[in-house]
Amino acid sequence: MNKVLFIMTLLGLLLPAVLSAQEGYLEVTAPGNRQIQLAIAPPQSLTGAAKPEVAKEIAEVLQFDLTLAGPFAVRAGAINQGTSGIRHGEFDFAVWQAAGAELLIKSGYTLAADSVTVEYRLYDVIKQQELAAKRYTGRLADLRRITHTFADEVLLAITGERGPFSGKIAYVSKVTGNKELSLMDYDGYHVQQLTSNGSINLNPDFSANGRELIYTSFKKGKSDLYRRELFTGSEVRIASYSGTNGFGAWAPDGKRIAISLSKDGNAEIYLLNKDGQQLARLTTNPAIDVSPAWSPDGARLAFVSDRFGSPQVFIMAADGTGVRRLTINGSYNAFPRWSPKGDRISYCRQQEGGFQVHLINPDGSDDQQLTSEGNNEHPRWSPDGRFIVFSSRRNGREALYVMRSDGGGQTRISRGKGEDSHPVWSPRW
Amino acid sequence: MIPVPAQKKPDLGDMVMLSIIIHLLLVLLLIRLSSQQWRRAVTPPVYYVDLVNLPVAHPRAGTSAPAGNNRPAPVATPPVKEAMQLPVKGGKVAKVKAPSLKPPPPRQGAESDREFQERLARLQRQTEERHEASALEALRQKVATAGKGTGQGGSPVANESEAGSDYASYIQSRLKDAFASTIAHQSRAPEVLVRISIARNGRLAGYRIERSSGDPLFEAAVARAIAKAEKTFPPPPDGKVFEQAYLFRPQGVAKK
Repeated sequence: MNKVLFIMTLLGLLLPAVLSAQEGYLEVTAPGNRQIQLAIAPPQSLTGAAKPEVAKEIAEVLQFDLTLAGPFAVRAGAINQGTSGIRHGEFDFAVWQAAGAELLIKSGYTLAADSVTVEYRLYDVIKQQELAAKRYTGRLADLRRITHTFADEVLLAITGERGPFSGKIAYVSKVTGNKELSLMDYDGYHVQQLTSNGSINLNPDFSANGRELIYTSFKKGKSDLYRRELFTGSEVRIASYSGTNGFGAWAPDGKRIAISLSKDGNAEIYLLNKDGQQLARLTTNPAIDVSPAWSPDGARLAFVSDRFGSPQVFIMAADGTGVRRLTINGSYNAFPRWSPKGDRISYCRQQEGGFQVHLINPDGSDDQQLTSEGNNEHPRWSPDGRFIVFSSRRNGREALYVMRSDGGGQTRISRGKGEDSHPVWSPRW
Repeated sequence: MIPVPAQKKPDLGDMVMLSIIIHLLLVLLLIRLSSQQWRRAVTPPVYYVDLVNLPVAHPRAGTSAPAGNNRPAPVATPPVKEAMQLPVKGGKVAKVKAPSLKPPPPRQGAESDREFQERLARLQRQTEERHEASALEALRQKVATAGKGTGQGGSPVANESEAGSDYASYIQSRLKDAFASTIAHQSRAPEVLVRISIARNGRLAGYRIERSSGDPLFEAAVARAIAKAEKTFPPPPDGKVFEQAYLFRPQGVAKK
């Protein structure tokens, strides 16, 4: 015993001395978290005649995407400025440095018949280094998509993670008077109507590769689940059990679908394979269990249940075990969606004046309200977890909006006259 | 027959314990010795007298007081920061509308946390810029009267073991000023440890990240700060290559 005490005492004396013998350094600190000054040089024609509308579109798309991104204070120059080259050594960094720019995007285009080749270069003005350079060729009609793709690259170069701007958003549109599925760029351009069955179509969800959609449709008189191949338009009904077949959610592995079926009485959560064959029943409860949402690793599901009286968000393992309640505040919480990184869950809480978008940790901590204006519903994450797209009635008609995951930068993206809802952001195409 | 007392043999436990103690003492001794050697090599012992937190560009030159005139240098007026400007055709700089000096109109609605933090950061930066402007003006006054010094204690004519010659701290202050204008991060409390080498001519010989923050946005901000600060580095006073580790992190943000 005495020996043990002696050794412990000795170690107690020695350890602080050993720990204090760390390598020395001096601290450099600065307050705040400022935005990086990013300048967008006027896009210029590399060969042939200049076409101002092409340059304008490139600059506008870059400015919209990178302003929404958050880390940048973006400034775009006037169309007639800057005629020096776009490659390293063809222009003077000092001019841009004097203008206060820290990052600079230079771009140039070449037009040929119906196609366009665009070259983009991202520079660090202070270090005078090229950070990214890409050249794309496509149809002139694809100019916006091409530029969104480069904006994704800018985020990759600066933050280490690619942006989601080249993805598409599927949503429910009432522009025809019926609830039809449509597809558009994330900024509201290039709208394509996907269904025209004159019925009600709801809750679209993308497969992991973005090539297929599942959705609920009443086109055959009851709510059935359909799977649609986006590039061919082929479609198959995969769940038409008695009762409702709704809230289909594709698992991250692309092989399973979680769905709410009422075939056995009340609505319960089931697992199907992608052809609609039942794999498992996950909940067994006299209450209504709906709106399943997968965790990014496919190991857990969040869902909505009124088993304790009012609709609340619950979490369970993907085999239906370990059910626990997630939301404890609010009398009506619905539409949970797990963030792509798995660290947050978005959901809607009914409050005075309508629903608001909230975020909460999967352990139930750090509940944070993101919206406050009007009625806001159906939040869905961008595939990189930076943004949330949602529907809102803040300006009357229901329209789609996008915001950063901290609630900043709330921007309307719907450009049509109809009502838009139930958005879902695709993976990169 | 005289009984011989039984000789007590040391047991195995005692031997192991003794061995552990000896090894620990040796390790400790080695660590302390190497640490002291490192410190001697990197940070020379100096009399550090930071009278006014004034950066000194050339520790061996000039004086803090002009000859025959002991009046303190006038304090510079704070500069008005210009807005970001965009270049125009021909390489000239087109001024973008400068921010008005009038106080901003009262805000409608409560500002968000982010807006408040940005505003706070702006105010802190403006304060630091004013301090820097004053310090640089004072430095200009000294340089203008270089060589006419009185050799007072704390003046730049002093040798490297006297006031104003703490080179590592001077580099730290230059880095801090540059970092205030570049800081950006996407993680909550990033920290990056960078070892900086400065050549005998005062140019940045190189730097390497010894401990990454895992936040590329933050590390790019640190790299830009070093690139900005490099232009203000004087040659090391001892004529040797200078090397020092600096830990960059946001101010007032604690790790969880």
